[in-house]
Amino acid sequence: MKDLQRRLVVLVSGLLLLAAVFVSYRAGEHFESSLTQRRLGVETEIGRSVAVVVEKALAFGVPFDQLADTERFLEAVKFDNPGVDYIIITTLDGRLRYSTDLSQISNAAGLRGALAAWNGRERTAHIGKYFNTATALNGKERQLGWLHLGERANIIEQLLRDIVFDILTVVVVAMLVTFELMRLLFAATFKTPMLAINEFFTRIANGDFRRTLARDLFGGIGRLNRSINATVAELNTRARGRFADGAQMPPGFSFDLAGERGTVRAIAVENIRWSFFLLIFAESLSLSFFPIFVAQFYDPAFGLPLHVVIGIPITVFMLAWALTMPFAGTWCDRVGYRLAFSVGAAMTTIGLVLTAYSTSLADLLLWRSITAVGYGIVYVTTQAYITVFVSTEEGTQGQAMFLASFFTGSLSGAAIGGILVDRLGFSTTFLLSAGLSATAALYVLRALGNEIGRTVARKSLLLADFKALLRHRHFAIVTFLSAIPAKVALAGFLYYSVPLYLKGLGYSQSITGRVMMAYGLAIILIGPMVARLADRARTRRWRFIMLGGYAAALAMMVPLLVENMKGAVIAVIGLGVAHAIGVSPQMTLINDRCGETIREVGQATAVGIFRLVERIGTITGPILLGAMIALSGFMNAFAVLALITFATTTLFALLLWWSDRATGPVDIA
Amino acid sequence: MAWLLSARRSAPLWLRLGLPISLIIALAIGFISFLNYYNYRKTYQQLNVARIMVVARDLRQAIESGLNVGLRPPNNTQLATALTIAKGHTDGVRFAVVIDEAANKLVEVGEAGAKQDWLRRLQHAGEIVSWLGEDADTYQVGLPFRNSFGVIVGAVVLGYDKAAIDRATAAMEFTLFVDWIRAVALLTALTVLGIWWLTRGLESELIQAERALAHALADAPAPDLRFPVLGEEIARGIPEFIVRSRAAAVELEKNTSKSVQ
Repeated sequence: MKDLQRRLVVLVSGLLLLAAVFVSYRAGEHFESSLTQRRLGVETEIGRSVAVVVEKALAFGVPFDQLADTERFLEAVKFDNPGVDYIIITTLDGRLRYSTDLSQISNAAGLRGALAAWNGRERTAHIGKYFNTATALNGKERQLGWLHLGERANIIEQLLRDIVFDILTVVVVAMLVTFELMRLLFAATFKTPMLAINEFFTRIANGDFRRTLARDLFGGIGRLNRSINATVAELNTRARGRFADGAQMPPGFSFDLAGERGTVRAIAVENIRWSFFLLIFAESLSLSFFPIFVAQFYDPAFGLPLHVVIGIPITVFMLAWALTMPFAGTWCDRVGYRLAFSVGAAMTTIGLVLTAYSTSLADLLLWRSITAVGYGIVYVTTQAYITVFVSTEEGTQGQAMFLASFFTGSLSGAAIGGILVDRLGFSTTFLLSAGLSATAALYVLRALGNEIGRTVARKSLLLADFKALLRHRHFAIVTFLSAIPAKVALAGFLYYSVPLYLKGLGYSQSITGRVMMAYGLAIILIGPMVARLADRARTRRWRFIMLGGYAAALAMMVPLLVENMKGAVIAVIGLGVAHAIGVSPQMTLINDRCGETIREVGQATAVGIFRLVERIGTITGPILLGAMIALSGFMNAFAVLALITFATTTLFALLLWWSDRATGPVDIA
Repeated sequence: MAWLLSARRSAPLWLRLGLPISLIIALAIGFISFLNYYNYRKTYQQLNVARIMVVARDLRQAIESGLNVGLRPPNNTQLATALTIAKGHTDGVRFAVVIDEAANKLVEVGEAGAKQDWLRRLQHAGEIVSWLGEDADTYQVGLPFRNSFGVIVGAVVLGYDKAAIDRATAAMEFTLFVDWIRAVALLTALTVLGIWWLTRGLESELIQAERALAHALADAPAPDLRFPVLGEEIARGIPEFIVRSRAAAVELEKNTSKSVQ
């Protein structure tokens, strides 16, 4: 069955790529004719503008071959119009009189020759690598010469070069979204009904005919449900009939005598994964334009600079999100995943709707806090669900899947949101986000069973929960020597330093955004593959965390060895690869080593506390890097951060190694 | 889609999988086409702005040259001619207006709409070199000009036909839409064909399984099923289910006979 799914994925990927190439190629063809005409319209206008000045001088009686300072004037025009490669004034017989510097022009001699043979019939012509636009220069009574403007002929190639990264970004985003949808479709068609049927057959083998299979909507393996249910229904009808007649039920068999019609539900993490992706996607739609949205509410009367005011709602959101997580975890352990996720997604929906109608900064802060609380609940619930319902043997793969979903939603949402807001405006885009978030809530309500955590702890969040976890040696080692340093690197290096570093090198925000996107892509593409290896390593999973730590240290050293943009790109990709290797096994390792304590505090509570404590790294990272950059510059700051990461990783490895040597082989909890 | 999702026996697997996957691909390439169009529109508008900007810069030059010799725009006799030439020679220009720092029109060629936000633009001009605006009928390029002390004392505003630009971009939108339709039609055919090819083994096994289950309570011998695609677990599970169901039926029958006796 996996083989079939793999083949289907290959088929769809191939067709999607084919389609993407087809529509982009056709678009390029259409753009070529339309935009070339427009571009030449600009050249004509520039030519006319220059010609007016030259003709004014000629009208004052200055001889055509004695126009003073003409070269400097032409250079100034060329400077004002970056698309122009040359401006040449020739006599009527094509002899060059004045021009801009032609040393950069490819085959200048050929160009001169072509202009000498210019017949003047066509105003625009292709000469070598250039589009040449000619404008007549007239004296008092007659034409005296020609003004030639040249621009590289590969206009569309240049335009496409500018937008090629946009197109690549959108192709990647489209593929990511497609694969998320396909994963859901395949899960609903193959995996979930297969699990349900197998679980159902196990019950039947024990003589339990009380339940049926859920009604299938996708027509895959679930098609069999109808026939199976028909048989079970027939038996139950007979049993109810006999029971009504006072007959005894046969031993070893149980039937649905009360007509309760319970169904067997398979637990498939894809159901929550899809909803989680949808919600992250919805929330991330506003990432690219949120600062501009906040700026609308700025009033100088606040007495704060604009960039500080823009930062406030983002900080409040992060704070509310972080603080919510441990409480959300405890609550989720109490009420179950379905309800917790649905309430979280509903709160996010309400927060987004209210954000759309914000009228002041105070409003906005409140609505963003509501959104953040919902977001926090969903985040913790999903991670706890995956931790509990993915088998221990595949724990790291489950966490990698969680991270991949998060980054897929986040990258896709941010990329699409920027485009949508331009067409729909702020409010409608927020309302669309709210609609998607509501869809996630409804989907979970329908698709998830009423599963309660297997390690449920029905109590409130207590300080003792923090103490119990933080006093656990392995929890402390993973959290303080791996998770927090990873967050310091993420927030301090990637989110804080890289944009500043690239800005210092003169790169635009959009280029910076694309470079940073590479981090998420590395997590999405490499994380699940490495996680499979980590799961095979079982008790030696911690070595992946160690490897990830050293890889992160190495990645942050790269800008010291390779300067400029190339170094930054390698460092960002390297950090993504490092975190893909080292971050996913963290939660699995905690589960493996702290099973008893987690059972005491509750799975989701443990996830919430871990995520909250980890945020120490997110908060200190930018402050630490900011101070180091101010004191000693980018390179020294990167070197220090790399050394810190190296040191904490080494300590982590040594402590775990000693701990394992002292206690003997570790049993997976 | 509802008819498809409802458990109809008639819709085979290739159709059930093929149509949603085609829809997903259609959405994905629709999104790519939309971005291509978006980039086209942006570039087209930028090229128009660049063209109009050349004209506007010349006009600003003329105004500032006049100001340098003490000629305010209303007194600059050459200016009205320059505006007329600019409007006449530049494709699509609907009006050219020179305004003072309070956004009062000083010289005007063509007719600009009454409601304009030029005063606000000028007040926020600061260090900016130009602004891009629009009203109901025109897109506009505004270039503030300065007196010889470097103070902004007005602006030259050129409005060019919105409808012509929108028509051109809408034509491209339609062209890309037609390409999208073609791509979707071709891709849907290929997807459905490919899925039929890949799932035909599974489809045949599902039909076999359905047939076997349809006779679960009949007296025929339990079938010996081989499902290379569906897998061993289902191949074993169905006969076991049939055997167990028949056993339950027999036991129910027995108990009934006992109770009747």
